[in-house]
Amino acid sequence: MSSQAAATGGLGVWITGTGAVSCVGIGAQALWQSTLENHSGLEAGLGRVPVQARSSSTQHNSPALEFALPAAREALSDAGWPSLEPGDGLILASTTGQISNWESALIDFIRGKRTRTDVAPTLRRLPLGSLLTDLQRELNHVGPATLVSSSCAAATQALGLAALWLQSGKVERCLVGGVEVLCDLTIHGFRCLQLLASGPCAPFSSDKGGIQLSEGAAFLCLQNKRPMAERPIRLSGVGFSTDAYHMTAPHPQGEGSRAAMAQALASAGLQPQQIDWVHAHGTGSVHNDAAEAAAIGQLFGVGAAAPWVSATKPIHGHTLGASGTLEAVVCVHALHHQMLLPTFGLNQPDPALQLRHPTQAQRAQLRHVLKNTLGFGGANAALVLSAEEGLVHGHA
Amino acid sequence: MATLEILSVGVSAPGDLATLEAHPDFRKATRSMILAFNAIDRALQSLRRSSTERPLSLGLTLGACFGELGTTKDFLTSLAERGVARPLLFQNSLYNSIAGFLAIQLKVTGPAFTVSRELRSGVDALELAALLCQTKLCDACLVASVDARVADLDDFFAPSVSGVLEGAACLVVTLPGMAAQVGCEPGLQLELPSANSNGHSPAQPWYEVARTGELLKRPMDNCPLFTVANAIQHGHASGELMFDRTVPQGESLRWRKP
Repeated sequence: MSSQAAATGGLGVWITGTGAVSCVGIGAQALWQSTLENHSGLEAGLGRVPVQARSSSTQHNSPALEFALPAAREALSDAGWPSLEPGDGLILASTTGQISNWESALIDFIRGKRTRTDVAPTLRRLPLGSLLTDLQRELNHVGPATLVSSSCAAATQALGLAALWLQSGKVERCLVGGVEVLCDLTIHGFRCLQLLASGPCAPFSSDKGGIQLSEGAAFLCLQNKRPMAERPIRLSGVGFSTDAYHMTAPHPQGEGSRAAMAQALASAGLQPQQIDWVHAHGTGSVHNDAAEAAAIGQLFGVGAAAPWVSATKPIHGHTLGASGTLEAVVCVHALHHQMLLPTFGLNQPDPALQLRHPTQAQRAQLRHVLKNTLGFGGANAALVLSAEEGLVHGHA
Repeated sequence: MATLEILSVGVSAPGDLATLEAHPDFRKATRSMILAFNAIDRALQSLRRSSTERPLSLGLTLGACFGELGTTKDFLTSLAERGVARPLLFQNSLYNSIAGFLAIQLKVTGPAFTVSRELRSGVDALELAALLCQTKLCDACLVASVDARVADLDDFFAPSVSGVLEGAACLVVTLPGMAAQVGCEPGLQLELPSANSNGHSPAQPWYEVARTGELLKRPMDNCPLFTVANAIQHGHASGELMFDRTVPQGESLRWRKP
């Protein structure tokens, strides 16, 4: 793929629509404005989607669907797609699907507190794939579909997979989304691993506090055909790798993450110095930040020639399996507006990480942005998102 | 329609667990992890490959319907009954923890994906493997499908079904014609379903096409790959699984000599 990509300037996959539901509000615009203006949706260490964001059209009483449907419909509307056609693809990413519906019912059933008849409708949602089935039904989708569940790299992998579907001709258009709902499993799970922040989330800081979990959904519409819209954003490169190192900690030198980013650059036909901004995974956990910084340093070098590096999780939190699409939506808007975002709350950058941090939201010439992701199980994925020359210089 | 070449196969059944669970490498592993590892290990052991060739660049795709439901149940039960959240249970509760475990054990550093779509999970993993090979992200791909029983829920999901309820299967696949290039002996060809969804529920069972043409309903093993791998292991050089018995030319998974 890399040699062909180099000849054509990377993958020809166009992003034509975005949609989001997050703890900062309903809509991709709310997400963008919050990341631009430092309005965090995190409270008491968690980011919960506002109650009014819940979709009234669904009959499922499923938070995952209630987040996913408005985000998906917003992306479709933004792309000018009235509906999904039979040949369109749908790729969903999630780590826990509809677990918030069934986790308490499951335990009640096992402990004999509720009957089989009582819990049957709820436990139908036990398989992760039931979320995709339900979403397909709501969107009247009958085309190619799958659900990716590669931990926190899931949504970035889903976007990369969609690019492969499009490039291979499997589909001409693809709706890609990530969905995550806060639940007992993840909140108590991350807490027992001592990964949750007790104070504000501050990635790449000397006083890292840890992760702040969040929930939400974000979708993007991708297509092969260059859209009519002026100066669209392109998904130009994808990369995937695995650490093969540890179940919950990344490789300490970030070897796998570096490999995924290098592969994304190669598939985009770019050299490291052509990347203007790395939108980092930046969870705020000690191990993630150190590994990611090491990977970025190895690939891009350090100092003034290195790209800017920042993370937006202090605003919208860590949405786990949905983080890749949620943060890709932020990157798309940043490219459209030619605005570089800082890591809000980063008052004391860790000097050992040797990253080049923007200190404020600022206008910048952004041609190529790399979105990086790391996940449990050593899953790594990276994307390159690119603006056209005219857009970059139009804002300069 | 995508076509793959099967380089080797492996299966693992519940009976294998008794000896494997005692192995030190599996001390922190779940049933699904052990079953999946065992299936892949068997497939790799039967992979006849020239030792002079360069190392294979391997991808990994894993399909699971229920993932680590049993571990999730154990974590939530511990939390509800004793107020204790156990780190090992949490890290093993994720769908992707199986692939993470396999990557560590097998030292797979290429692309690794976990996909889940009810009874289509294994076939989604095959389709993804075909794409990874086509786009040269790997020379060959370990495709695994696994699901393990959750004792407390057996009655809920399969009260009247006999047969295999858990197990794992692995197919090592590459693109047709690539076997020699990656230093392997040619294998059977596997034709994947022509369409991905067609609007049919992925909760539908698979049907085995008998030699008489009769459609035999598969037990709810969630794992069409198990049927394929098992048949090949027993010397059946061809066969067909059909996804939707209502469409004669519907989605089917076929393997045969090239």
